[in-house]
Amino acid sequence: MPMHIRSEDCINCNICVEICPEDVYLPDENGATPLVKYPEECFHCGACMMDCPKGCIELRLPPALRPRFLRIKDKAL
Amino acid sequence: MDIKDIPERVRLETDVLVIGGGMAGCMAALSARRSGLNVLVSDKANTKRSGGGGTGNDHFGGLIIPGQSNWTAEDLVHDHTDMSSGFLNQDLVYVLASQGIDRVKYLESIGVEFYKEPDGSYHLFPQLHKKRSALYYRGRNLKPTLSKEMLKQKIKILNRTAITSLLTHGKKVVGATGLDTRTGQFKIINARVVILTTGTAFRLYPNNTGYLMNTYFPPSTTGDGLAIAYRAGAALTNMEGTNAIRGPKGMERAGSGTYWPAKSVDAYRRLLEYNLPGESYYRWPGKTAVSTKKQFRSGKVCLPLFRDTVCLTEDQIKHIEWGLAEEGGCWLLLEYMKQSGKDFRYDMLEDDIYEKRLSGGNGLKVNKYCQASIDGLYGAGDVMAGLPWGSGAGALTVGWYAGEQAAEYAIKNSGEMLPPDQIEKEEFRVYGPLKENEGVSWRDVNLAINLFMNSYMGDLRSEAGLQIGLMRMAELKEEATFKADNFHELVRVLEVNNVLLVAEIMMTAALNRECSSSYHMHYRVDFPQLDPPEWQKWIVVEREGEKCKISMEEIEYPYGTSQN
Repeated sequence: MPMHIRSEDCINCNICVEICPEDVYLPDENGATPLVKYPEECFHCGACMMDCPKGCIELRLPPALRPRFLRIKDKAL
Repeated sequence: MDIKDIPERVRLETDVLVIGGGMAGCMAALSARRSGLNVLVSDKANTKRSGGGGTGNDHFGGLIIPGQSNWTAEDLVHDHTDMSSGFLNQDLVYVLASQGIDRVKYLESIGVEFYKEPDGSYHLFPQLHKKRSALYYRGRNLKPTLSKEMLKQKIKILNRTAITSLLTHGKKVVGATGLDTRTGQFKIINARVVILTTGTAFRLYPNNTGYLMNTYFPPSTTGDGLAIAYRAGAALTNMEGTNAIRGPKGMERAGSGTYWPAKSVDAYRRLLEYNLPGESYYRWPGKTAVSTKKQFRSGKVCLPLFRDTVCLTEDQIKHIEWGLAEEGGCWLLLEYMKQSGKDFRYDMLEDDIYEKRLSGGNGLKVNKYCQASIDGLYGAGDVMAGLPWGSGAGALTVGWYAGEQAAEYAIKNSGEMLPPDQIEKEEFRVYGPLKENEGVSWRDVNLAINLFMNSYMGDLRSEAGLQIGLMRMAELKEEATFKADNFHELVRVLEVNNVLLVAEIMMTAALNRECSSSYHMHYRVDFPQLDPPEWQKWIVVEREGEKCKISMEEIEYPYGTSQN
């Protein structure tokens, strides 16, 4: 799942719903924490994480989308 | 869901309609507004975070700073001509090179910070050209800043509105139809002039991760502007050009940041040699393709490739981190690195080849005034042909310029009545999938498009292969009765319809380029001659009834080339 909202910290402002470029979020009918309705359509731009006033949206990248690294011992090439 | 719940259609009037509220659209709107005309911007999402620059941009390239750059705008035009193998509109590159600094100053005036040296001069670095021609800037909140400025200038913003068609009166654009992506309301907009700033087209080809929506820029960038312009009778060009750049493995949104001066190395940490400075080696793969293939064939390069930051100084690494924090998904890459204990000082970032896509500088055929081939229509940014790797600066600088040109047109031309028959026909087309009980999903059709583009317009092409490809696209259209259960899915259906049209246009253009072309990454088995001079021309496509009309046009070089 690409994005997770910590509902205990969410203030239900719906900014994430307002700005998501892929319309991934749906507001909750009762005004509670928004639903991540279309998680597979998220392309990880981070807009929701940036604009959430409570910083309660977490990035959870699936394995194939994670950047990959190689640790190197020598500084010089 | 019940179609009867959809709010009644709404009619809107404006002088200048900007379709697409990304970087180019916002600048076009702001500059057109200076003329005192009414301006309306429509965006499929929300202008605060939409488009390729939605969550940021760290580089502003292709500009000359008088008194600081040690070359001229004409020199830059020559360089860009060389890098793009001459497939460009030199007049538009000249606008980019000569007006960029004015746009930088404008952006600074509304609170955008550009990276400067301690003595106050701009920090120029090499990115796409042989000499330093790019600036770093804090672009993370560029879109919210531009959105705020648009509201301050009383520009009307219509967010969550997907434009579905252009309305025409003969060969003139007189407005557009749109769909509210959340309420499903049909919107009819009357305008004196329309500016398309809808970006390029993604989701044409598969990417290595298998995730359909893992695209370099927002996956909702589906060539909507290209499709609606083509259907309205506007010419497109350079649609046979494809490109597959390299970027960090995994989420492609991390690919657009500035990693320079990181070195490109192979799995044994051997340095790859390129004769081009900056990041040219992976941003102009068509130009570097021959050198890349030679190195691979020599057996001296073992995949995977990496971006080596470990060999850099602390200052260089800090600078990269500064930039990446401002550039879209690269900020997310830094977050991921923090979470997983990775550090550019000790860890090299692994590369992969990204999805094939349009090569850059493909799309709406425009003249030196950004005017399309039909009246009342302008284009700027990635939607227009002729400015390969215009990138963020291209959108900002040429977007502003197009706004000025379009405003001049609107002042001299009055609006016209909207065509009721086109509106009714379009409304029927748009809502169709909601009425289907059975049908295929947009996702399934998108996967088929990916498969066909890869099979028939992949690395090696031929007349027979492309003809079979076009036949498969026709079969797909025949088979696919789309079904959508809500407005979100309906917008996705409209997008895939546009991707399908763009794919057909690309295959048709590729069929007509009867040579091999390194810039276009177009290798014809049946026409292996590489870059013959007689094919140094534009292939132009235009709708003629139900058919696609092809014509060829000489490319003009009003600034000459560095050879003469």
